[in-house]
Amino acid sequence: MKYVKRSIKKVDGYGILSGKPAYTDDLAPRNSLIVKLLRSPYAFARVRKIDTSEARSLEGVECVLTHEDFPRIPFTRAGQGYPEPSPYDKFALDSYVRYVGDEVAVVAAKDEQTAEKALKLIEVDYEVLNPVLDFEFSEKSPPIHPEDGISGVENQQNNVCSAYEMDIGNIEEELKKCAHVVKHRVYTQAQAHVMMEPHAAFSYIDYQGRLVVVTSSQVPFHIRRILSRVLDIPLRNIRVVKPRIGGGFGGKQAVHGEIYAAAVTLKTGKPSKIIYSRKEVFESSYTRHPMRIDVTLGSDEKGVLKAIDMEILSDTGAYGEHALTTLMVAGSKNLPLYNRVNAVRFKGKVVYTNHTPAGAYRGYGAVQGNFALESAMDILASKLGLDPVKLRQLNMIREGETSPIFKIMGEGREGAEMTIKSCKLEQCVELGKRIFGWSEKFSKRPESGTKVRGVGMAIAMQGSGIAKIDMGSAILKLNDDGSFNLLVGATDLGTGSDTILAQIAAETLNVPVKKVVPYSSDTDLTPFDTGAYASSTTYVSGNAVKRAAEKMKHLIVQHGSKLFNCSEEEVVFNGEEIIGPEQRLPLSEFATKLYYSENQTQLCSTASFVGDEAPPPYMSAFCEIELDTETGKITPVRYVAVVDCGVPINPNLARVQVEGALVQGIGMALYEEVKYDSKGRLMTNSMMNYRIPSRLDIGDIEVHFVESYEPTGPYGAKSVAEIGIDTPPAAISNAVYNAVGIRLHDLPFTPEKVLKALRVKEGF
Amino acid sequence: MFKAVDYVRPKSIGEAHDLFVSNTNSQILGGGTYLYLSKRTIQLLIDLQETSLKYISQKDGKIRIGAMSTLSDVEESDIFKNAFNGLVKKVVSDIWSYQLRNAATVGGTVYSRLGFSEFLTLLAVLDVDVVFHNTGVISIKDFLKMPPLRDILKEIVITENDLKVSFQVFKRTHFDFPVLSLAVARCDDEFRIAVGSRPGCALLAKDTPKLLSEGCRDLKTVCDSLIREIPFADDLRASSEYRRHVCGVLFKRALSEVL
Amino acid sequence: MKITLTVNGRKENLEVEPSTTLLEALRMLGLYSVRKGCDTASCGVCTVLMDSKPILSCCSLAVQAQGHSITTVEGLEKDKDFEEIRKNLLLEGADQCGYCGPSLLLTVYSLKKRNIKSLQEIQKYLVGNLCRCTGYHSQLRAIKEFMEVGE
Ligand code: FES
Ligand code: FES
Repeated sequence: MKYVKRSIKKVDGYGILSGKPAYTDDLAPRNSLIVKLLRSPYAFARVRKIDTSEARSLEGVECVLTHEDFPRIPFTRAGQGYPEPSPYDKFALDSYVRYVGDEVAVVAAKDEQTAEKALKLIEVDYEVLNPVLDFEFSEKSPPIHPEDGISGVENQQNNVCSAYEMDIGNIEEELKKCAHVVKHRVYTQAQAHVMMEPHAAFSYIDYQGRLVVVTSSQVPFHIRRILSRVLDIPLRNIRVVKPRIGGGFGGKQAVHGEIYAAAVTLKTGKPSKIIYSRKEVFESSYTRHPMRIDVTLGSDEKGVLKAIDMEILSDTGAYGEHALTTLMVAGSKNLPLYNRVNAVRFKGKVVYTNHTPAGAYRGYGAVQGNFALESAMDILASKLGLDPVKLRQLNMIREGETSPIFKIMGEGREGAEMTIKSCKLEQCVELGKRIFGWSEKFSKRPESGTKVRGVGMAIAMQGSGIAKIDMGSAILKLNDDGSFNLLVGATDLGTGSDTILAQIAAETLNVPVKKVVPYSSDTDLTPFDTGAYASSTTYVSGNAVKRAAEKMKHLIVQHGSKLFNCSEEEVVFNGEEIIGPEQRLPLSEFATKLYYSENQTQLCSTASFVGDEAPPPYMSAFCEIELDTETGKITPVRYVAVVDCGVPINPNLARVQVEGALVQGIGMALYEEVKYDSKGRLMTNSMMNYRIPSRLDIGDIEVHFVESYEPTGPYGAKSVAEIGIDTPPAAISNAVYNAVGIRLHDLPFTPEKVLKALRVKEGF
Repeated sequence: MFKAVDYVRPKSIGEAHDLFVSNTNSQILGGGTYLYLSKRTIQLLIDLQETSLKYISQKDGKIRIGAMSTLSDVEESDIFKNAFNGLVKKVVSDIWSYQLRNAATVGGTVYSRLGFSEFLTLLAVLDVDVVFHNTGVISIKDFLKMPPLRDILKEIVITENDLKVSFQVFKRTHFDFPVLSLAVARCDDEFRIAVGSRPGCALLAKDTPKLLSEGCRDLKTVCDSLIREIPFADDLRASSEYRRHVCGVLFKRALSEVL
Repeated sequence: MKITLTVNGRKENLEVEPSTTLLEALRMLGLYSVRKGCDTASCGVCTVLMDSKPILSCCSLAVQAQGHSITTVEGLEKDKDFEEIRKNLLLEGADQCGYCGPSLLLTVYSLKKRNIKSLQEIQKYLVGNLCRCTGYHSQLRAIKEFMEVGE
């Protein structure tokens, strides 16, 4: 392989690092109207009256929109396959506001100051309602969505947004037969994405009267569809462009400000732009779903797992974006890890509260589920007196095996059957164990003193796209100099997917990567793609690119044979030249001829791909922490991760994906605390108060790969974007247990919580 | 975000002072790094950068730091490499971020009595005078107790002495405000103890130093005393209860260094 | 009010409010490498060099910057050291979304000029440069090479 499995530089890196205008705000027309949103100060209220007259008459204000200005069309902000598994429980603007930060009115003005001023001039008469702030009591509280006209909600009266249940075998019976049964309950927090670029979008009407929206989004095609629905204009009249994105992590897998900028543009005919403040990103985009998870494990005498039961209560906040699917992924991306059990039960509910809505976030439920399951595994191991590594080795899934869960649980619907064709989890565990020095470290009991060390481990799996739902496609276009344009709908959000897709095309065509010019994404120019989420781009869009490149190769041969006047079988294209029985032509000359003089034809290939399955990447994680028993502070010392992501197309970029995800997971485990006040206001709504890990807070991180070959992936590749985030909560909590004998249930493990647990243990 | 209507750069402290007192809605501008914390509209911003207050000098056992010196100036000055065994330098170099320290001024930090300032906790236990243009010299001890002064802080003067000082800080991440900071200074039988980030501004203890001076060395007794006399409050970083506990831990650690 | 800023060696005239931040002013001048991440001095993404030292442009005022020399990555396009650190970052794949990139480059560049050699110290100086994508280790590999420091 010449161009894949190579750590080439990111194709867009140079320009971005040189500070070239590349992100949404850099590209917005200078005369854009500034769009600002009036947001609810109450967690739950009804807008009785709204008076915008003063705001409207302020000089420089171009328009003010309230719920009366929007057609009452229910929709979901979630950018997912259509029809979405998320309920249509939101309106562009509504007379109810359901969390602090919910949209009340839109202002557009000539500049920021005027817009801010206008916001203050809007008079709203609120009927303040009692908010539901504790998700464990939500079902018994008055409905947050009593309104008519919404759909897809499981039970509006009880605040149950979604629910799901499945079982295999007889769980109760199996558990009765088990020699050992452990039960474990955990809570996870509403982690914030904190991508460095806040949500940003601008829109304008082009010379033909079409609406153009440029947005920092992971899902331009979903944005186009949703805008068409909400603004009630034909899809063909909308063009959505995604420039470079400053990170997303799932936070941009939805429409956010686009609707409001577009509505202003449609109303005024003028370019308008909306840039979320950091506070808005925290309060009014969305978060990870906080969950309460109960796990019950049963095993025989020797530690062979016989039954797994998982029950979840998930908090989706005010709206049900990604509610059902994150719930299901918490099960479907964890339970198959231990596939040889006799019985599995999974059930869960997602309830509404008057908090910031939850949505997609790297890991997508899997990280929550992993925390519960992999902590419970360690509890079982210690009950059995078994090395936790042994317990995993005894029970974990292997290559050539399957799990009924793949078929039963998809995302929001049935999944797809799959026999695991590539799984080097055993090797990941073995290698990780060795590199980390597990056996020695684990057996050594921590010394006394106030700083105690401990080690912990966990394993994880994820998916590669969503089987039978996620579609990626690609267009390859030969240029007259022999280079290619690669047009993909897949959205590089900073991950390097443009580079990886170019590498795949280059490998297939056998041309240098620099001859492939990738472009993503523009709904007018690039072919359909569901978007960058669910670890899909390398696998799904990569396969589409590979197919398109194969077709292109064939086209070149076909047209070569025409030119040389011979049969196709006699022509070879080797990447540089087209070789016939008597002639050979460099690709560039061939292309020039083809476009300017002979058999004039544009060569263009297009292909799509939908996975029949979503082959999981796997990983093992080993970590060492130091715990200050006097303050309760946990300091990460070392984290060794060994990943099987198939063949890494670009090993550097794969490594950085895992490193980045691990650090985000460490942040979730240790630092990223979310606090609301008693009125339902998010207090941790700034980067000053919501601290993400700095480079000094993460310890040493080592990422290794065990290569497998996934036959259904492009050049053997699987995904790698999410898996890294799954293990830190469990691995760190296991390390804490092994250090000081306390079991942490509640994320994040702040010094204060750790200290409390220590004191309980000491019998204070 | 705050707003400002006018901006001036006076050439002397006298001129700055006149503007400051004659305009009740004016504000002195140091590095400007904390302005984002304010939401007010200010009539006049008075920038001191041309008033020659950016200096650090050492003479006759006194170190003078001009109010417009940045935290980085302190961190990088040769004077503080040695003074107090490099402790001042070390404490300052752990504050928030390099970028911030390059702009935040000593005057701004001291004048605003920022609760989260580690620097102030340390200064509180040293022999420090705060020098104002009009009011003159005030000891840091008095300054910390005074209501805000409508005067211009010119410099702080640290007297070098052979105090034995220990500084302790507890943060949740390296790039953060402290949950608590604590400094203990000892000169023979005299003790000073300051606690900052309570989350309020650094406070000097009264009873506990006395206890120590009287020769009490029972750790539990002195820790309990300190925890009793210092008020703590809740904020997003920690509860008052936890702060109280950490205060005891840090105090114990500090004492082990100075006793 | 009218002010003159010296940016990347050029004098630039512009009209600002006293409360206009340096960040806003530089973007008005078309220097899009200067980006906003947080507006609470908490992320470092808005870093620029003022008189060769990295500062946060989100919490400095444009008016304060008069009389100082401001450098952004646009002004270092041809600088040898700058080219090298940029290249190192690219080689490590340490540019993910890249939003934090210019600010990191500027900070590292300023440390190189100060000839700081201890890795620990370098890491401490960089603590204010947050990055949510890379997990920092790839950056560190690139920086280590650039600063010529060992383990
Ligand atoms: S924008 Fe975050 S520190 Fe300036
Ligand atoms: S590369 Fe995205 S924030 Fe650093």
